Amino acid sequence: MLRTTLFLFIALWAVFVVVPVALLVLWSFLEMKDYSFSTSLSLDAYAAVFDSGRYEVTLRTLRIAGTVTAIELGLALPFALWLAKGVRSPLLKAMVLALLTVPFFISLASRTIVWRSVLSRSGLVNTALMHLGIIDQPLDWLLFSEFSVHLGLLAPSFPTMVLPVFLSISLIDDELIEAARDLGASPVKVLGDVILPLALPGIVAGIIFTFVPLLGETVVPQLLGGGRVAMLGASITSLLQVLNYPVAAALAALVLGILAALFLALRLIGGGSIAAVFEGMKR
Amino acid sequence: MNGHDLTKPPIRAGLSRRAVLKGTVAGAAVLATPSLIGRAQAATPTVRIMGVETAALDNWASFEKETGLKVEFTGINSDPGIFRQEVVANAAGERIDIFLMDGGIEDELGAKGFFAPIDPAKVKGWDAAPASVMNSPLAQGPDGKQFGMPVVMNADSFAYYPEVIGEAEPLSYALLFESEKTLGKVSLENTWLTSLPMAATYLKVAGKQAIGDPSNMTPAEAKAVVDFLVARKKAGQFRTLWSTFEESIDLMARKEVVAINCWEPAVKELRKQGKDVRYAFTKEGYNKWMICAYVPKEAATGARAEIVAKALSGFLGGAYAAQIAVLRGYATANAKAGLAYAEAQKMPAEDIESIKANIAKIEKKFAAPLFWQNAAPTNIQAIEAEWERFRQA
Repeated sequence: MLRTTLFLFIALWAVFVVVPVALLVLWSFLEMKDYSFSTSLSLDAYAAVFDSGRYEVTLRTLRIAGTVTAIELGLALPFALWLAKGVRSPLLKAMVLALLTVPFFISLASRTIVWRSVLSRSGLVNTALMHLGIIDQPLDWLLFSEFSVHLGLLAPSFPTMVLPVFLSISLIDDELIEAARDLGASPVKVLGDVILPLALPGIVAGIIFTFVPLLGETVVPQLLGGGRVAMLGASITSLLQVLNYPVAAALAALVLGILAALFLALRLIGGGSIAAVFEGMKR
Repeated sequence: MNGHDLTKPPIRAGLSRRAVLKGTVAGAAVLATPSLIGRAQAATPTVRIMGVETAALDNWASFEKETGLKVEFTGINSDPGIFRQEVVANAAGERIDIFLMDGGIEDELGAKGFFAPIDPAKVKGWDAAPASVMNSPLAQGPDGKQFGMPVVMNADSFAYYPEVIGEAEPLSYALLFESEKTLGKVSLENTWLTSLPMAATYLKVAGKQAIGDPSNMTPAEAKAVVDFLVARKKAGQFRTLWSTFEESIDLMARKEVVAINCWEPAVKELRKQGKDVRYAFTKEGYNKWMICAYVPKEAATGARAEIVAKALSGFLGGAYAAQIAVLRGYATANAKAGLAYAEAQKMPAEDIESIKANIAKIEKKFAAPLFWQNAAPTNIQAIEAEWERFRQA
């Protein structure tokens, strides 16, 4: 039974993941003439990636996604710890979790566009600062800048980080923590030696669930970056619209390669073993 | 199924008599269907149109009355990329009779055999429309074949706040690209399709750069224009790039910018909100665009060809011209037919006025020399890559 299931899973995974990725990589080495791919292999698409500033877009996207993911992790860890181990009332816990999902009911564009009235030249922040006499000219860098893109990305990607981390901390048996405290471990030591290692799978999942979607994010950079902070999503869309499939594929393949490298690095530090979560189960 | 003997035993296991009968009934129904459809078509044939949303009427009743056709409209974005994929990859011609798309695309899709040439003799009203419009390069393929029929058109420039600019029209595109007055308060449309040719037009007319056709630049010309734009970007000329119609309105409404190369309907909206915003008459010329009707090669023969001819005549007719002028401020190739129709139908006086004003505006703008917007320039991928370089700078 297990073997059949495993076989099925691998077969499906091959069909839905491996084949498209293989095709994508193949496309990136082809040329297009009159809507059809040539049969000869070439590296032109990769050269074009480096010529038109798209390589810089890739690096910028990785940097912004990485920064936002790091900030999210810093915010999510204490929050998840408090929610999983600090909140006694199940009702409060349920309410907080429900509140985390509320934003998903409003479209990202609507949530993002609101930042414009906060950050624009005539927006809330500038008006307030000028009113208080702190500045005499509106600050330009609040909107249509990397600052506003980072800010706009923070809220939408918080739940994807906090939920896996919260779940994995919730699964840690309280007795393990009590045992460590009985044996004289300080709270910092409990956190470092018990909670973090056991929560690591959740942390790794949170990083992946947050970082990867950020790479393809188009709405926030468009609305708050104002075309000044170009990220990968828009760059690839623009290529597809002029039917430049090879360069689009090369760009995507490049990102996949970088992701694969990051994933391997995470496996090495994260141990990658889901089983670790169950080690705290009552026997 | 008549005349079947129901008393016979089942023909064979697993295929009962009843099943066979059912099959026969179903088969008969299927066989009868085409003739039913044929009869329905004889009553009111349907024309299936796929095209840019803004070329659609909100109510096709008068158009249907004029042409004797029923209209089935599928809207798409004014996006040559999506359109290309529909026509090339999804074989849209098999289920669509007429495409309405930004002109220029026939240089690519017509030349490659996806569209059939249109015979002007078959379209009523063709001769009443100005030949200069009907024979525009935006309707003809590279070899002069008439792949497109102009449907609606306008000439775009930029919107501005007169109180900030403080100059009399005609104005220069310098206000968008190179002006202390608007420094850091300009937004450009986030596409090479409009913003690059406008910058090229400015440089060309100012004598700063030798450029042949601003809407069909060579890679070297595009590079020179983008070099200029990058320098202006570094000088802080541009506040932001806009991507959606609502966004362009919002940026102007909150005075985040004071000059923007938006579409004319955005100015209509802003004026409705009580903002003193104008759409510039310019020194250098306009981004003249037209949405053309294209006939997929699959619809060029037989019964579909008849339907297509009627619908094309409808787009040059009075009902469509009158309605689209009031609805969007666009003119058709035969805008005067719209005025005649409006007067004959006793449409409200203010509508008749707006149709008249529209005709005057279009005539004035289309007399300017530059340039026809081109969705399919020869060096499209090089131009797109240059635009990307501007966005990254």
